[in-house]
Amino acid sequence: MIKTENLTKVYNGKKAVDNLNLEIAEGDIFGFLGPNGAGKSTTILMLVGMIEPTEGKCFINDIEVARNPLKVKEIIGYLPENVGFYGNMTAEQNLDYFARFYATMDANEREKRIGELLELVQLDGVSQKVGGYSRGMTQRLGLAQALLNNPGVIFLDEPTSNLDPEGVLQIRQTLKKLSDEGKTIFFSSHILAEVAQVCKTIGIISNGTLIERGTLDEIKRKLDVRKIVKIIVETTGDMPKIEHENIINVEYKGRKAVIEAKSDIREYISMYLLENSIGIKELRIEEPTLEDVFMESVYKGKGGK
Amino acid sequence: MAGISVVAKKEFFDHVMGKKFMVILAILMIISLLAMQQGVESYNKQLDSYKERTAEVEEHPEGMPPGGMPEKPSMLFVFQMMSMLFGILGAILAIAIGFNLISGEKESGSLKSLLSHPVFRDTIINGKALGGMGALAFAMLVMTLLSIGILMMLGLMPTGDEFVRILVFMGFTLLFMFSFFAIALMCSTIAKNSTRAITYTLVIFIVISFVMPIAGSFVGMRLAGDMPEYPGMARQEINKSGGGISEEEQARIQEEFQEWWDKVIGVQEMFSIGDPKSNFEKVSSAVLNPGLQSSSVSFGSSSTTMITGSRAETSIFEALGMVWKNLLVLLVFPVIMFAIAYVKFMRMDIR
Repeated sequence: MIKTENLTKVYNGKKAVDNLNLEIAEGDIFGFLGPNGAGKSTTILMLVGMIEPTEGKCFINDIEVARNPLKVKEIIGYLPENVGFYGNMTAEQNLDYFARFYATMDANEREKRIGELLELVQLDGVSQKVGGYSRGMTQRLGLAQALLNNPGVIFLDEPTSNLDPEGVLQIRQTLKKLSDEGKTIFFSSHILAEVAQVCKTIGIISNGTLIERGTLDEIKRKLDVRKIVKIIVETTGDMPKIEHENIINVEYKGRKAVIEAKSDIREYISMYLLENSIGIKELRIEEPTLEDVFMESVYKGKGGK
Repeated sequence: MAGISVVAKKEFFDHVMGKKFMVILAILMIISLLAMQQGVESYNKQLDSYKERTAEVEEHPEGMPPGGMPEKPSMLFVFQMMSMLFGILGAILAIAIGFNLISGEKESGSLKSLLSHPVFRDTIINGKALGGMGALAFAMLVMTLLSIGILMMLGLMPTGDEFVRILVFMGFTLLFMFSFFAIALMCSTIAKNSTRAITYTLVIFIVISFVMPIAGSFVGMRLAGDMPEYPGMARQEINKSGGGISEEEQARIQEEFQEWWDKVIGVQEMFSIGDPKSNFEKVSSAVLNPGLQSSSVSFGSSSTTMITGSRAETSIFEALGMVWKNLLVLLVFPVIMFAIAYVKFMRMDIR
């Protein structure tokens, strides 16, 4: 379980993370969403014991990170944004070097675990040195190093950034597999579609402040501050001119109309079309996408810059 | 402790297997070989001269005039030639090893990966320091074995005392290299990237090794005022003949001159007190020159020593006793630099 209490980090007088309170249940895949510079990486760095909070506390499985960073590192995995390795060493050598810091892993166990991980990230049999790796290969190796100690809690900071579609798919598949194993995953991204694909719950951070937290649907409902309802109508015959006091705007495209109204007037539209003996092919409200909600809430709505 | 050895081992092999290390070591070896060749030639000339003068002694059974007894040259002379080169190339090798130890890892992102595993920061910096120092020690070992081996091949067999002095000299060369390694490590920790780190290191190297001694000399001359005038003749002439002036007058002039000289040296010492190169040259000179007397050793700058005429041999312990202040600087300097690097690294925000 991951928990933060009034977590705050100040850099040069500016709050990068401001009073963050978060609780992520065991086995959850949590998407930490926010624009660049919102405080996602700073939060993760505090959670993995890389930097100390200015105020507040954070806990991993009830262990306070700032007080016991080494103990926490033994049970977590972390894939940093723009992960880097020793370019003069192979993937196996890099992983072996990191694995040597785990007192519980002897030489045989290291060899076995490294073999499994390289297979998982499809880098087994690659003998070239890491310095010659593509961005995607480095990222996959980064995932392997994050899983070296078979952690129960995994932090992934922008794991799909700079990856090609195939690389993104591979990361997604691996995360699915890890989720099936019951691991808690903290996934940060500024790409909403990525978070929507992978995560069970999400949190949105902007200017260091958590502005929303919940499941995808909950967030969408909470953040849908739009007052306009978009109704799509398609008829079997010619589209008549539809008039109603709540209609703000109508766009006619042949037998199709896109109506923006102040309220849901689908019942009125349906009655009106039936009265005029016009068959209805489609009549629906166009739901805002999570992307719309996100853009509106973060960039234009609350918390926006 | 296990973590330190893991880091140190990796760092050591990264260095000694790296192209940078090999190239600089190769250059160091080639230049040292050339210096050795020059040194051996000079040594052989001195030896020939010694043999000639020894033969002359045998022709004078009544004894040679005072100061006329020949002294057998020491093969340590060869290492004196090398010590001058080590003052520059050793520093360059140490800087090359240390300048990107931390900054390079920050740039590549490997430091973040490393710190995400259960390892203390002090383990990393201590391991890196040990690995780097180990690589320098390895370079020194190669150089020592190579030099002694070549000398032996040329038929120059060191005596027991000479052998000890060579080893002590190599040990202090290593200590000198640690000073610049520590400067480079400190700059690597402080600087945002490796380019800045190497720039800072080179600036410090140039300032403390070249600018400060020159500035010390200049300021010393200025502060001490004009050199005491001698009535119508150069000092050499006074020394030779007394210059036709009374002994009292001559003693007074020499006293004045000594006073002036002490002032100059005092200022120079202040300017070069923290210069590892000057202090290393002092220590080398004391270790490799058994005939050097305590009055010839000053603290700091090496350019202004006054060698006395006596050639009574000093033991290695006496030699080290003469340069204890310089040794202290060579020991303390890297410790201070490393302490700065350590504190900075421990407090660094890894972002």
